[in-house]
Amino acid sequence: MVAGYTHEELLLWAGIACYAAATVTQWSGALAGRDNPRSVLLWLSIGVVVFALAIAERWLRLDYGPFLTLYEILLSNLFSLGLIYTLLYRTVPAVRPGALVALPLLLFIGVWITTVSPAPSQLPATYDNPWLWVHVSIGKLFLGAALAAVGVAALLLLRSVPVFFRAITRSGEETLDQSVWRLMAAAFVFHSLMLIAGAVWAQDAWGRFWSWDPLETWAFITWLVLGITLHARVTYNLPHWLGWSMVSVVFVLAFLTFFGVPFVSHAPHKGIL
Amino acid sequence: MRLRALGSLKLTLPLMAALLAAVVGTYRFGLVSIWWTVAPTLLLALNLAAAIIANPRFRRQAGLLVFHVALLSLLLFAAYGQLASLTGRVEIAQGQAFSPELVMVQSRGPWHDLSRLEGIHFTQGSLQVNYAPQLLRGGTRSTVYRDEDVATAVVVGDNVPLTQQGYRFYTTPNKGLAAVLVVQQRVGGAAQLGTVHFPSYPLRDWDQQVSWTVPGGAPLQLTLEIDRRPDLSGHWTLDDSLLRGARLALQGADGERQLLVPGDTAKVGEQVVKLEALRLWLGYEVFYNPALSWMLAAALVAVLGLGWHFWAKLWSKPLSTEPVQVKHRSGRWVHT
Repeated sequence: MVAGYTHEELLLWAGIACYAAATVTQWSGALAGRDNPRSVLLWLSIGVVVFALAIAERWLRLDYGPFLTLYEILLSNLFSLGLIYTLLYRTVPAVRPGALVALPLLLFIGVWITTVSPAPSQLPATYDNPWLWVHVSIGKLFLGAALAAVGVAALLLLRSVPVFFRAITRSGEETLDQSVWRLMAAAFVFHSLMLIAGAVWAQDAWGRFWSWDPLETWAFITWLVLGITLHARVTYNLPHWLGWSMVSVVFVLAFLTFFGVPFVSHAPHKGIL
Repeated sequence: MRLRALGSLKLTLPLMAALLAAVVGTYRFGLVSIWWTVAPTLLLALNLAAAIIANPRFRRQAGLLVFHVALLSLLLFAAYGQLASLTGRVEIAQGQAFSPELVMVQSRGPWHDLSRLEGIHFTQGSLQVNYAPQLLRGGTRSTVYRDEDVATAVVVGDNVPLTQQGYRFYTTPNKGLAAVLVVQQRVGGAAQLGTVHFPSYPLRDWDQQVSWTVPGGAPLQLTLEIDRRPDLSGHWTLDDSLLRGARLALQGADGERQLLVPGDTAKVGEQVVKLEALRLWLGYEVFYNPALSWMLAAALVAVLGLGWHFWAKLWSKPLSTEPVQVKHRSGRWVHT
């Protein structure tokens, strides 16, 4: 403990600082017309490792994984979204311009978590199930792909912002557009698998594979809107701006489903009485 | 020609939008009829089936075809599962054998034959439920005996249901205390054994009383008096040790009160009521759906098909390397 702060708090602040540094580096590079992906990648990588340490410290102390409270969900997503985005940033150059939007979104989660109570809870017995891991892991892959996609889609939508316009010209609109739809296709596959794994877990844990509880309903709505978006792009010759707008809507729905719905409804996950 | 029109991809999108509206409407505004969601789903299934049959371009894309055939199969399995399914609840006390009459049916498909339940045999054994402070429930361990034989004991609870004859019995948070009573006519007559369940415990620990009418006799108020209250501020386990020293109070309409411990008897009108034992009871969810594995298989095949399609169409191809030119909002093209 340092000056009244726990190890977890120090690691949390350090991780947020790394993501903030990555965001500033990305933006300053774009404003100056000199991208510096290596520095961005370095800050992101350090941030991911620091958040992994924060999760490990909490896990060892409380003896359960980051699955339950809003604080834990935000913390685990700071790690997982950071990790997935870092890997995409490293391997898919077309994703990089979208970091102008995606990294501030990641940073938003970082700021949000500082306002949330880190008080622990108790893991219900029904969470002791390997399908929970499968369900959660695939869900994170979905949200990571959607984050990368919405970063690029928002950039394309907001091209009237000069710094965005310059970023688009450096990569090419067609390349960026293709990367958006490839990522959304991956997101659709991961979302479908997430629903399947969740249904298997729910059957084991509560004796029903689907019951239209708020979380399930919003997850299905997100899946359906994503399906509509992909279908509309193939069937109708959608104007680009409409396609990118629909991608943004999918991300907003996914974000609300992941971070909003479980904490405003009395989902049957708490195990009281 | 009509089949082609029915299978038009341009029809798919409004139907998906209708399903979306129905789901949102049901969730947000409480549309009660299941047909709000079933109708667009059925129309989507028809649209999909027609597209698979009538659209050759559709069939040429193997991954897409696998995805949509599997999706259609999933809908068919889900429909069959609903028609043949059963969900219900059952409360069983320790030492009590399962009987089909105990099942409170919640939903039953028209193709489900309730006589199938007669093939289920198990007896409830011991029960432990762990609690953390503030009544946060931990693990549930319920021991059940198949065929009343100790050697056939299995432990179920939480993620592990009891499975028999395709039925699954899931432990629930619903559990409580029970009195096993034997009622006999004071002069002759056969003894009747029965179990009276008290309200859920610890949810309603302040209300451990129930009205009960002696078979062929008078109404009584039964109250459980428990000495060993758990310390709810710490970790504790609910098991039958809670019942050590507990007493059963019988109170008739005349106000007369009799206190019994296991083995005691009380005269109630023309009958003798014996408290055989005090035990715990546990509620189970009963679930039967013969299409469960098939639905899982169809869903996994659908995702495989989807992945195959996207791989062939998108992911296996390099990103476009067209000359970099971007159209600005102003309408001018910018070359770099």
